[in-house]
Amino acid sequence: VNPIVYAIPVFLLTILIEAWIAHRRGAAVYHVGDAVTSLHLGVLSQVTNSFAKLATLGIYAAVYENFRAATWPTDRVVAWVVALLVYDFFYYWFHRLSHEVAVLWAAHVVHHSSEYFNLSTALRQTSTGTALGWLFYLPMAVAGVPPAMFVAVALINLLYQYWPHTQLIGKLGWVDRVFVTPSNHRVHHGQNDYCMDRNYGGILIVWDRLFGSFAEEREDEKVCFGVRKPLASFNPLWGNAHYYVDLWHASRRARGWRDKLHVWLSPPGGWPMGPMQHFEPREFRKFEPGTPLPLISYAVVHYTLSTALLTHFLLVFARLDSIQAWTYALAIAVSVLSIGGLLERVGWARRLEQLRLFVLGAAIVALPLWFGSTMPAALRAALGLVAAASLVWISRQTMRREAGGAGAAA
Amino acid sequence: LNGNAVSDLVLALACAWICLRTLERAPGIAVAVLLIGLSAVLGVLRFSGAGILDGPHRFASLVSAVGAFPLLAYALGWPDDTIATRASASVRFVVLVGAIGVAATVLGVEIWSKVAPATAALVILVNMLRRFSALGLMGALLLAASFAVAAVGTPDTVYFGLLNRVQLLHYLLAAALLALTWTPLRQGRSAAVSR
Repeated sequence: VNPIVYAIPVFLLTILIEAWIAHRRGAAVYHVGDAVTSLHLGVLSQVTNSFAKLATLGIYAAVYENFRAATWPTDRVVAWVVALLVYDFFYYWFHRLSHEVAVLWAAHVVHHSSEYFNLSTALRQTSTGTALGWLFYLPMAVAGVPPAMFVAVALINLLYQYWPHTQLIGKLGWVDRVFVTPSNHRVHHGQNDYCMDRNYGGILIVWDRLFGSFAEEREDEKVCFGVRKPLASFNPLWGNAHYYVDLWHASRRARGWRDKLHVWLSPPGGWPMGPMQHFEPREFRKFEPGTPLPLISYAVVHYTLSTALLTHFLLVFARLDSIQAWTYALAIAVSVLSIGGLLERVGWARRLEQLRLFVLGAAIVALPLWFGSTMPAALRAALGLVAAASLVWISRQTMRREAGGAGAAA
Repeated sequence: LNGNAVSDLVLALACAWICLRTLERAPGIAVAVLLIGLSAVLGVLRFSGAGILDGPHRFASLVSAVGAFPLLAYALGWPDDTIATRASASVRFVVLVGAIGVAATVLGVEIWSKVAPATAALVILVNMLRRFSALGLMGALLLAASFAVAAVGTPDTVYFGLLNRVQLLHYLLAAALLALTWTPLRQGRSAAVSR
């Protein structure tokens, strides 16, 4: 079973606790639409990774089988500690190049696209990063780190990176100088001039100190989170695809195959020709589509149901045949796309949501098994009722673009 | 040191010399040759008795075949391009092209590890023909010959009554790299003099 299944309740609970503490302190740390989008992106990344990891772990395992120097003992604590350190070292370089190479940034930009910074941002993960991320860890396979040990230390590294995504924890003294912490990770997510391309570490910040990419959080300048070219959308598919689309257009405009190649290999924005454009924090405005409260509440309820779907998907994924797996993945992807569209109030979202509710509701009520699992009759009836009630409610809503004409959606 | 180790040592020394000479003026060539040289160093150690390095040596050789030789072809073919003149761009090229090659090879498309260097040799050959560079042409032919030995040579064959397949591959490769990079080296030296 995918271990993330067990982490999902912990993630959701800690996000609720953080939001509650922030609310009590009067800190504007959360925006519901932004947080739901982050969580949607997390859902989508888990779905796509379920498929992609089969291939990428296959490459790792193949290199391990054919080229390894030795076999690291899995019963020695020191081997695990060294494996974790080595993984963290390669993660640093993978993460750094994810910011410095356009094609890798296209995958990673989604994690930085939130203009808020909270625990939900940690779950705003890419759906395409696995496609190239594996290659940075192949030296571990050659060194002889067994695939199971590799998967475990990768998971530890990933889970560690959850807690630094918060504004509620200040500076931590010497801990900030050794480990990745909220303070130095806030800098990483900032778009202020001093924050750009800094603090890439996963667990240890010492890599940044070693390789000259460390910056300490400043007391005199508030960090503005996000990217210089704002995503300005709650659509999780667009969040994943938008920079690839930009690169595609740029490479189409480029003359000759070498210039086209450079579009993908150069740093985002091209090879540095001069100083980076100045960012003025006082002029920064966050994306706010003005979603009404009832629609936000609707999105939260249906996000919760999507998470239940995701959890079940991860639990049964290994048992599904490929058609079932792709169908289930499509259902989840359409769900997050539709809810994201509603939050953004784009014209097509209401039609898509109506279709989704009808198909999913009918499938849950009519099918004897839900992707190989038996669902209690009472639960099926309840979900059918929720779908029907939602269908009626959403049909009475008016989207901004329908009401106000074209071009209102950001 | 046995014969195989000595041949890899010659290749490693040739790569080190080329790398040092091209590092500033032609980083693309330097990065490509550095990778080839690293696998040669692993080969020296492996053939000298460090059996633990058998896998890493074969892996480094694979990376050289699918990543370093395409970079070498690019850097020789378009010496004014950013990938040839900027080390960070060369590394990006070799990482991504090499990754595709490694993935394809280990996932079963083993012919990739032969097609990639063969294509690189062909690109270099065409380029040297267009330039009318006798030394470069000789280098390209030596490179093609070394790949031919690697692809179709048998382990038991003794070439010229003296060398086995591994040794011949390494000597041909060392000679090819020296010949191919001689022109850029010479250009670099005259540029240095003129400054």
